[in-house]
Amino acid sequence: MKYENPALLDQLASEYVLGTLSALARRRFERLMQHEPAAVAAVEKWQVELSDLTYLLPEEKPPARVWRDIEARAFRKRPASSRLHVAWTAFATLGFFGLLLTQFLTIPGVARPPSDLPLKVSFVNEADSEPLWVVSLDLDTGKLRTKAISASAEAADKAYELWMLPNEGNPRSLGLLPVNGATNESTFSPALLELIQNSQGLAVSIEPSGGSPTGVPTGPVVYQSSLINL
Amino acid sequence: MIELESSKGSVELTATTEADLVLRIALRDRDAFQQFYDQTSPRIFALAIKMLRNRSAAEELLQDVYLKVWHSASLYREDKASANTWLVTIARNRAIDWLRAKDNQSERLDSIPELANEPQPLATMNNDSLEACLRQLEPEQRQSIFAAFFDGMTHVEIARHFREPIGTVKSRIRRGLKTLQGCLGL
Repeated sequence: MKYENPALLDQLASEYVLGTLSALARRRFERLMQHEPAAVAAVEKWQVELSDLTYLLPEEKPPARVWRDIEARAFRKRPASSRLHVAWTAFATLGFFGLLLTQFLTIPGVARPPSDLPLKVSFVNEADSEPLWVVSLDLDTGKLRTKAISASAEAADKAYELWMLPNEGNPRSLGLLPVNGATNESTFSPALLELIQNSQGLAVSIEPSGGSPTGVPTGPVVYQSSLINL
Repeated sequence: MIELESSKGSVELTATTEADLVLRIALRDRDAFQQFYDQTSPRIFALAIKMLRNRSAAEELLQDVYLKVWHSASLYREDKASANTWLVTIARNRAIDWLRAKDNQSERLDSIPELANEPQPLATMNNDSLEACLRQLEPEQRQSIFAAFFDGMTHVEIARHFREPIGTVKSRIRRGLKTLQGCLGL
């Protein structure tokens, strides 16, 4: 098979997603996907294209026992040795909005492909527990995504800015945080990623719209956190 | 552990999109997990019953799918696919593996998928284009694609079912998918 032929790859990807390949051919294509990003991309495209066919089926409510079993199995304690936990311990600078930052990230076990390493952090308002933002960092691509879940603009001429607190030196800006359901995305260099991983934590400050004019926080820091390895 | 307790039934919670719920599940939000299950499981259960033709196997599959959702939500990439695409992919992959592993193919060849001739009205507003595109397919193309998607049939099984050479079935599905792709503009 000449997998470098894009048309053939696309055809195989469509057959893989549709499910027409035999068990053997299916496994062979899955092996190809492990080292061929073009195959993964083609599969993802076909998954997007075909998955909505599911809406054609009349819905069927599962019996209540299914959820009970899922709950029992999902919330059972997992052995600690199978997972590496890195927790962001939160320290809220209360008094500005009375907001509390809660962060948590879990890195699943070794079976996970290296390309799937998003570190996720949530910023939570204590009053209603609706996350303000979800921040995810992909250590492989250096991509930082910040998504506003319930955060809204503080004022028309103000912006929230996310900072990383390195072990030494001044805070480094990680960009402005979005508001009103928007998502921001930026990509960081491996050197900065390493700084983030070894940093003391993150902070959020309120800055003029467009961000801090000086490169360091100028407004009130409304959240601060430290990173602890457990 | 993170505390993301929300008051159940709040307006904000019910208005949350499925993608937002998956983000919150990644943060171990149990309420979000239950809401996601309530919203999506009737769709996935229907798919599982259709593919496996066995209710108790479909219930088991549903459990496996949502346990995977709970443990792997952090792997979901909102920028690559909708939460529905992600969920359906998990469910279909499990179902296909189950079907391939089980040596019970012959009984599943008895009937053509019921949907093949008349696609039902779609449940979501966003899929008008998909429905219109499905109508552009020749009936045989649609039947073959549905037999694969909903019944998990391989090329060989579809060929046997329609009593046609495998090459005919392959190229029919290929042409059908091309039409679908062109029509959906993907």
